[in-house]
Amino acid sequence: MKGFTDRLSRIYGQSLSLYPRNFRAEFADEARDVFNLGLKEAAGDGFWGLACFALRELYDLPLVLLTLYARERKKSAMQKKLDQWFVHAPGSWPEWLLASLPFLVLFLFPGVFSFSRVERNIPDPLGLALLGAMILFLALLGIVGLLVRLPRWAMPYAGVLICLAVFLVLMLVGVYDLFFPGQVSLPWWLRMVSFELIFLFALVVALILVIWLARRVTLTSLFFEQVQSDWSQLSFAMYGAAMVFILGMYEDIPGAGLYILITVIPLLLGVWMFLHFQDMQRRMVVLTVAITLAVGIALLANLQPLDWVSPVMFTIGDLEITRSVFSIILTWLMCEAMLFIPILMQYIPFTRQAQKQIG
Amino acid sequence: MADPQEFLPLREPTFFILLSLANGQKHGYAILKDVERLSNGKIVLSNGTLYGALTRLLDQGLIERLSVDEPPGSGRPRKAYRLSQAGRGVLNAEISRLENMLSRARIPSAEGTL
Repeated sequence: MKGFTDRLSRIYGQSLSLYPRNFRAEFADEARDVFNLGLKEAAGDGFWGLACFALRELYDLPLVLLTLYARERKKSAMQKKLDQWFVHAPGSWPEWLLASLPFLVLFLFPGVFSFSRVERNIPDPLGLALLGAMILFLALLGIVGLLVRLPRWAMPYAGVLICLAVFLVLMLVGVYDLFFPGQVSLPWWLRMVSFELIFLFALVVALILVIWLARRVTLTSLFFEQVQSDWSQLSFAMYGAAMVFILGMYEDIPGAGLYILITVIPLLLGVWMFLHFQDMQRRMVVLTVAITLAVGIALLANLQPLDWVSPVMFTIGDLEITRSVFSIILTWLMCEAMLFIPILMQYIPFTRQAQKQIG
Repeated sequence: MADPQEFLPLREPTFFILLSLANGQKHGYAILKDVERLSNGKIVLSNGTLYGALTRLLDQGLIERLSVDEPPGSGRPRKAYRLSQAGRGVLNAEISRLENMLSRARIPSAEGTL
């Protein structure tokens, strides 16, 4: 009898090769264990018990295989289509285009509208609808990025999302209201510095939380396997977030369309170079320089004569530092700090441990 | 979370697998035996049918798969399955549906109770 059960066990093990590859990789060992336990029990009923057990398996096999292959095909067809459109070779043009889309969408549309003076004729509801459509489009691409397991082009989207989440949390818990318009009796510049320091601290906490979560979520595990070998990819995510802060520098400048359009050039070049360079240090230099140039252009736009005057905060010799200039310089420092937070994070023991577990 | 009604009515094996997991997490073999017991021996699942159903339920998010700690040296880690919150919702919805059908069948007719 033992020889018969051993033979049945072997035949079942071989029949598993008929199952879809993904099923085999995930469930074959477990299915074999369960089959052997059933076999042991059926052996207690003698030869006919064993025969019934084996025949039941044989009888169900064709339908089970058909069902599993049909499901596998449906799943992989959808994944294939997504991969075909959204997974591209490193450094390729489609990868650059996908990574650049948030920069293009968020800078080109407002820039063109402002430059062509169309924005004055756009009623508020339409303006809001356009903004909503742009955000929805980028959010959709972000979701697609998650579905294709966060390749490099999806990093700026992830960065925007992380920073928005941090900002929202700070607003919800009342930290933003504490400093702006200002429930604390501190000078304006000190309130601004304090808020930005709190924001950076919250960002570090958020990034640690993201790493902790990635250990549990399959869709993001590949993202952190990539980051494990190259932390500058997380800096690329922060580069995406910095874009939103740079765009915010044009908030109070009407007719800054040309400046907005020019600002996107160094940012797009930064994306292109980051995706092409292999060396991590060169990548960091590229991101740092691109942000500095973009902020420099925003600063020039702020120095133009406007129909409102920003109050002077400091004077250095003859040079007057206005509130808006000070704000831009501070935001620039914050953006640069954001780029380097991921590089420093690899030295935190918790994230090192997380990397080991993910790896 | 998807509407539990979208999954109804459940096929008998699916219903009994979910019912089996309602009492706590179980290994594959324990599910097989439990389904047989709960259905009074009416449903005896083959290995293939069980794993076909388990993979589908995992894809639908109705159950979760987890590694269970085993005593050291007992071989590879075993996997167990448990009902997810969505799965519990679907099971409850199916039980309500069946109860509703049963209560309607018990409405006294002119000729007496059916």
